[in-house]
Amino acid sequence: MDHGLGTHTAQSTRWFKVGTSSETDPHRAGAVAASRALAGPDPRLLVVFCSIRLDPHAVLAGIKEVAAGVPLIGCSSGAEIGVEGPGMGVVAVAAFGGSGFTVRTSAATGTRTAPREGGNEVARSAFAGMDDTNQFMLLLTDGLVQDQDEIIGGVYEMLGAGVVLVGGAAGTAVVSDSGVNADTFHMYDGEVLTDAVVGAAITSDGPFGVAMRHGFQEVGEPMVVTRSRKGRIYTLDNRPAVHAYLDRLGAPAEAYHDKKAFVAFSRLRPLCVLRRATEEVRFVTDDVDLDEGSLMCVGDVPEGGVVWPLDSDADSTIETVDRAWPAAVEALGGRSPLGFLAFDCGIRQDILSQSPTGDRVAEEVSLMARQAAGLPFIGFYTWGEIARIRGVNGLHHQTLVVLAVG
Amino acid sequence: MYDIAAALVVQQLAEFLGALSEASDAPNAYRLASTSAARALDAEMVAVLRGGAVAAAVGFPAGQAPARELSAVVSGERATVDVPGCGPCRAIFAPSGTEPPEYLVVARAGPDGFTVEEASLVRGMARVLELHVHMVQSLAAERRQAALNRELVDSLSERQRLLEHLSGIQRAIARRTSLPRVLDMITAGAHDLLGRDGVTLWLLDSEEPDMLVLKSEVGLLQQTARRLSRATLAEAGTVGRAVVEDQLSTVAGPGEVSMAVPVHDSGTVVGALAVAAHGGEREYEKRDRDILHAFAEHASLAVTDAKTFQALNKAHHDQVTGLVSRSPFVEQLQRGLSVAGCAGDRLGLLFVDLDGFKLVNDSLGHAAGDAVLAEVGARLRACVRNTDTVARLGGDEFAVLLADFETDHEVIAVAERVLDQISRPFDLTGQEVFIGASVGISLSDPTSPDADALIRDADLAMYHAKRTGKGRYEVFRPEMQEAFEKTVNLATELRRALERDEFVVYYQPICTLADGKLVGLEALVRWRHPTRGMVTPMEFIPAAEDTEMIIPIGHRVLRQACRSAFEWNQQRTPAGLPELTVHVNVSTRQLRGDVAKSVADVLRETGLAASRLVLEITESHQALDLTQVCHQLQRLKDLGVGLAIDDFGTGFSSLLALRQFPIDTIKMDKSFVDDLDEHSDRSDLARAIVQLGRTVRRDVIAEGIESDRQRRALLDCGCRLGQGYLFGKPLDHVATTALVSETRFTAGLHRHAGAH
Repeated sequence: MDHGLGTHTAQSTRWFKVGTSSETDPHRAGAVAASRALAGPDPRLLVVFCSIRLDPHAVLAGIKEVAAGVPLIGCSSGAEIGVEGPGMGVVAVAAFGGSGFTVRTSAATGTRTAPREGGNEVARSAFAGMDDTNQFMLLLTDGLVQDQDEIIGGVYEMLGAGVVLVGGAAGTAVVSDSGVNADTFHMYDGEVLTDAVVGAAITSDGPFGVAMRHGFQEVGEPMVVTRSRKGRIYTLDNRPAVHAYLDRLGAPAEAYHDKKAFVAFSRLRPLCVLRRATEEVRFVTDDVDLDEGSLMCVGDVPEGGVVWPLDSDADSTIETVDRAWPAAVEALGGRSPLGFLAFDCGIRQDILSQSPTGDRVAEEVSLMARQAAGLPFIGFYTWGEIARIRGVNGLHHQTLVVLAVG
Repeated sequence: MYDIAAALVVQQLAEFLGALSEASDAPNAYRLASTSAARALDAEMVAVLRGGAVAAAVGFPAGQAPARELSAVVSGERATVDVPGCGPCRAIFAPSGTEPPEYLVVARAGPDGFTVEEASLVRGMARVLELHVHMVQSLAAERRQAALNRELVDSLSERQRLLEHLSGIQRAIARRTSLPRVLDMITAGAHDLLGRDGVTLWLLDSEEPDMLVLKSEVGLLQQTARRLSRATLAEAGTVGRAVVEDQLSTVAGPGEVSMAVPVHDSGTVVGALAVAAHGGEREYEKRDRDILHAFAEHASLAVTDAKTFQALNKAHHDQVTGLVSRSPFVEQLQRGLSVAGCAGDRLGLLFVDLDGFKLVNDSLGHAAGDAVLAEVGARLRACVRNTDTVARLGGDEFAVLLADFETDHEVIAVAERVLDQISRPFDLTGQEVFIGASVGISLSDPTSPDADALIRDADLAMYHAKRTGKGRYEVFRPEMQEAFEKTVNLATELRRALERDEFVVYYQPICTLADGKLVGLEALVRWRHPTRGMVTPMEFIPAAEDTEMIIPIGHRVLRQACRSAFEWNQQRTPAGLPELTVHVNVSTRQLRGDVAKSVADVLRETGLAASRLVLEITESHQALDLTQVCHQLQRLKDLGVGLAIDDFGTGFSSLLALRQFPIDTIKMDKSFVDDLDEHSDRSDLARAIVQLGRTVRRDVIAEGIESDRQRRALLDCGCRLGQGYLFGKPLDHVATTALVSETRFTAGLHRHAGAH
């Protein structure tokens, strides 16, 4: 599913640049990354992916030091993606500049308790008075929000089908990273927010392309959800869900009775819920009840529905880059891209890092660099990917979303 | 192999239903339906049309859904909808079953259009939406009704609590629970119904009219309550205004929200009931005002009732002794008799009448009298149990009501304790005073619970005790009633006797002891009864005194005696005989009204010189008002009438009478004369009385001289005058007329001389 919109006018100028910094001093890291991104005149927007390991206030202060007055949105990340490779503790900044871009930033808080209202708020009047060609909205939601669909739904209610939505959900550190801020954060112009969603309504006189791919394979025949409530699945094909799921995937024996073993196995093997034209991936959480035999998924799994267990490996995960990236470029309708933003699922990072043949995360990022072919790109490992290209469905899991800025 | 398309419809319908289940009202249901349908069908646009208007839509910028274009779809005029950014999108729609129908319109980009399953899904969704909207609307209606019901239940529950509080307060008032306790119930009740706020009840200080005193509170911190114990009207804020303006007063400021309602005593403002919430978050509504008014009205009721009861209590209790007064005592007695009667029990009644109290009151003053009465009350209370009742019936009359006794002896024992206690000296600021008491006892008849009869019986018994010597008790016996009735009958007879002129006057000579010369006559009344013959004074005078008949009888005797004396003197003067003095007995009971005028009228009427009349004062068995007696005697004395004290040496304190009364003559009682025959020691008493008379320059007349030995002994004592059978028995008017005409009457001496 790809999207490309855009026209080009010779009179306008557009530029897209990125900058990253691994400086340990957050202020300096912010300033350096922003300086590197601000390579042209008339910057219109800064997009910041800031490591959860850095003090966001200091980072923001550093950025504002070199980019005062430039509209800005950003969010926290557990791991960052840059031309130089994957990183942890990195500040990655992308800059949209030139008169060809028109940007308005917005933010809303309280999405953990009222996600739809947050979506409404961040999109309300986002494009008011702006040119209605080549609109898209860059959204950075909060990965700690349970019902992120609701945020996207709230945005869609405001904007309708005419605006493409793209972005990702802010992440935080994995539990093993002790001493690291466990809460997500967002940046909105000069502020650091928590429990928030930030957005940038962008119109461009150039095209942009969005593509989304995942690297899972459906395993076996579909299974009917014979008993469920919200995200908890009690039975699949009238069997205890845990057994049906593990049996289908050929899980090791310990996964049936050892919760730790189950979680290690299941976190890389989601369920796919059948949709009309696509599938929706449902991550299987650690909230499993081995005695009862019930699974818990992120997002609803309706009773009576059809699901497939999904399996993946590092090869298919990496291979996703080679499918998504060209699709995004292709969506530009033949126009040359200025650069890319990548929103890659954190689970995919886990798959790669825990590959039987060693950590292959860098391999994926280098593949991205190869696909970018020298053009600037940054990204981060997300806790939810956003790509609403058509229809109302815009939130995805365990996917790679690529935005090609034309 | 599964039928994927069918499974998908089931799943999507289930998801749709699940999404709608989140909606608690119709607008949210329409909104969620649009989003959920769009998600299920991968549609760019979904709208709900109601009556040609867009109830909800997704796919268009907010508020920009084209109602006309969508209506054209449901009317069949159009097959596509232009969705911004997507161009013309193929549309399908499904109506609901409602009237008018609602339409679910779905549009999707692309050339494919909708499958049969999808069209079925849209219809299913429309139906689900219709059902859900109906359900939430029904639920909303039910919720509204439930809310109304809750309000109603709450209101009823609150009203029930209010009524419980108020009826509890009313019961407390009716039971004469102390005012502070009732006021505490009022503040506690108001606090219960008005929430956590502080409730205070203030009353004006009776001595400082602009000062309010905190009488009761609930919900105040202790230190606040202490600080607020008193406040001037000006300081008291809302409360002060409620009192001054006599109406509800409220304050709603940032620091405090308060409300006060005036409290009245018989219509006059005397305080206020107030409620206050600190912090300013509270708003008092009509319901709160009504509650406060209800409690304030009960505070008014309690205050008014307490004042009334206080006044009533004052009336019901004797102010001098603090004992129950007559009327409530009789009521209490009647109630006690009814209860005891039902249980087959008896009550004992002691009627206590003080002996000699009048003397204390007259000689030492009313204050001293009151002090004695108060002490008597205290002693009586000490004689009985707490469960017994002591009352002051009036004057020096008391009553003791006893219950729960096994035998009559227990009642008698109480009477004995009463007599003992009252006979003990009373210390009036250093001065010891002695009085006594006579006690009448009556015991109730369980079959005849009549309070008046019981009191009457005890009264009669007391009367009998007093008549038979005082300082004692008598238990009522039926013959006492008979005697009383006899007395009553006697009074009737006396009245009739007066009318029939049955009273006759006899005269006994008073002579010189030395030579038996007649110097005077003592008029003695006799009743010539038509059937009983001649009745002596001892037989009817007490009854005549009790029935006040003594006054007309005495008046009749006086007039007769004066008339006769005048006539006899008229005869004696021409014969060269000295004028006689007539002695007429006058009971102190007769010394009432204008007795001096009455005597003067008789003297004028009969022509007798005042100096020829001596009134012999006899003691009534009834109590004396010495001041009154003294005053009357002085007026008689002023007429020129002679006064003698009869039966000197007996009866009331003769020495006191001798000292206080303007007496000319002492008449020595016969008992002293009788002793002159045999007991030399008793003759000393007669001699002492004669000596006393000489000392105080009073004439002494010895009574009841029957022998010459007595005459001589009296002469030896220095006594000059006497009377008795020795000188002559009382004679009727005819015989006396003959006697007084004798020129050489030397009564007694002739016979004795002849005997020699």
